[in-house]
Amino acid sequence: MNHTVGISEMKVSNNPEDVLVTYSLGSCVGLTLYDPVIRVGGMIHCMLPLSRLDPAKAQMNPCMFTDTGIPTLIQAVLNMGANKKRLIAKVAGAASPLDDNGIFKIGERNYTVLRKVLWKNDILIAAEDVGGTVARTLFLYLDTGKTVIRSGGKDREI
Amino acid sequence: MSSKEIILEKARSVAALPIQTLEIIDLVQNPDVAMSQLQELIERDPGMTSNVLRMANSSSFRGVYEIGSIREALVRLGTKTVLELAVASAVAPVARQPVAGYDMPAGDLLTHSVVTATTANELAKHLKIDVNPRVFTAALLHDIGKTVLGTFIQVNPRPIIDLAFVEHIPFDEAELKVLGTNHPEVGAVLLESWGLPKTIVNAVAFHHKPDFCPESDRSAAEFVHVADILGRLCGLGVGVDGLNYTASPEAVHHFRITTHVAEEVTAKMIDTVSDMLGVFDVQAGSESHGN
Ligand SMILES: [Fe+2]
Ligand SMILES: [Fe+2]
Repeated sequence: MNHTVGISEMKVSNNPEDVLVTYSLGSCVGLTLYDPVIRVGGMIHCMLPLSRLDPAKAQMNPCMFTDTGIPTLIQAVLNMGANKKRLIAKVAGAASPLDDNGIFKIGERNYTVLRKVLWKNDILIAAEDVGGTVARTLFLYLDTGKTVIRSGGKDREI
Repeated sequence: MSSKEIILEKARSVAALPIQTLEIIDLVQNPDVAMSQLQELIERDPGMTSNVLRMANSSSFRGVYEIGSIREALVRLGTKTVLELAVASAVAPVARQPVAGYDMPAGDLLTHSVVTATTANELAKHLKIDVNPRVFTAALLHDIGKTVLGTFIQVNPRPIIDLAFVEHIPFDEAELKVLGTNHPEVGAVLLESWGLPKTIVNAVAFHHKPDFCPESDRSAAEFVHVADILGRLCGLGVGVDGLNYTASPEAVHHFRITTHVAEEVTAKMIDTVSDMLGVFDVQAGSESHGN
């Protein structure tokens, strides 16, 4: 079954028939984590880099911010029995407008924070499709851990 | 005829909006609309009445008590806000169709339009400036030219896509290079032929290049421009053009947009926009945004 991960949401699953999908990743960052041995996976769609922008909101919904969302996703897949050492991490999104003066680079900021959090957790990024000026859709297939990016009407596996 | 003339001719031949919609938009020009006049216009149309009430009761507007009538909405929210909600309801049908050539399924253009208008409102609130309902209307209609231009792009999208994503030329400039015109110009021609006010036409015409807008309407064009860029960041309802546009440093400077402002406004917008989208049966980040 297809499960949509909305903006500022995450979903985890251990059902091999599930496909997790998040639409409209602009400057937001999407992360998938997958343990191929027990076939547990999760996906998150974080909108803004740092929870200090609105700590009250972050408390209510940690998935909105990258710095609080990524640890929440990691914990959620670990809670389902995933082994941290086996986690395959894939990243998508973090786009920015063209050649701008840095003000609208929320995408780059999201990506930097995400890398930092994964690094702190000893999780390597296995594959990514980030940056540029395209909006992306991200799919995670729970049966194999296959991760697909759709942008500009084309699908490709990462 | 050049391709530009063919396209603009097509834009002029798009069926005009229903009279009632034009009457509502007409009120936008009038800074002191009578409450009773607006109430009468809205109540004449049951669909609009129900849409306005649903928006008025969404989290972004309602207070503690439910708003049960247009009269009550006018008293509690003010004429300006109710007029904006009526305009949104009135123009929604034209933005609902799928847009060929931009890879936008049905609902995406409406989503991006509502996102941009909501961003404009949140930005105005954040900057504590008063935004004219004309600017709100322009924000809703700014990309309407895509409905016409898209059918021409669809014939052979490759040259525009390559200019945009291989050569990194802003999408509106790529359109201009290949087709001799672009979606802001096409939109402006279309809205002008519908008889919309000049400020709206100019704000739409220059929404990607506000520096070139005639001075009297430049501020409106700049505001729509900034709201469009901010609204694109969330990715909701954007098409193949994605974020492939440039931001005008002058417009950014004029409204003192910083990264912090951009993030605050984005956070607020996402909070309020899903309710607004729900009223029009399009959803934030739902199935309708892929295929
Ligand atoms: Fe997004
Ligand atoms: Fe545009």
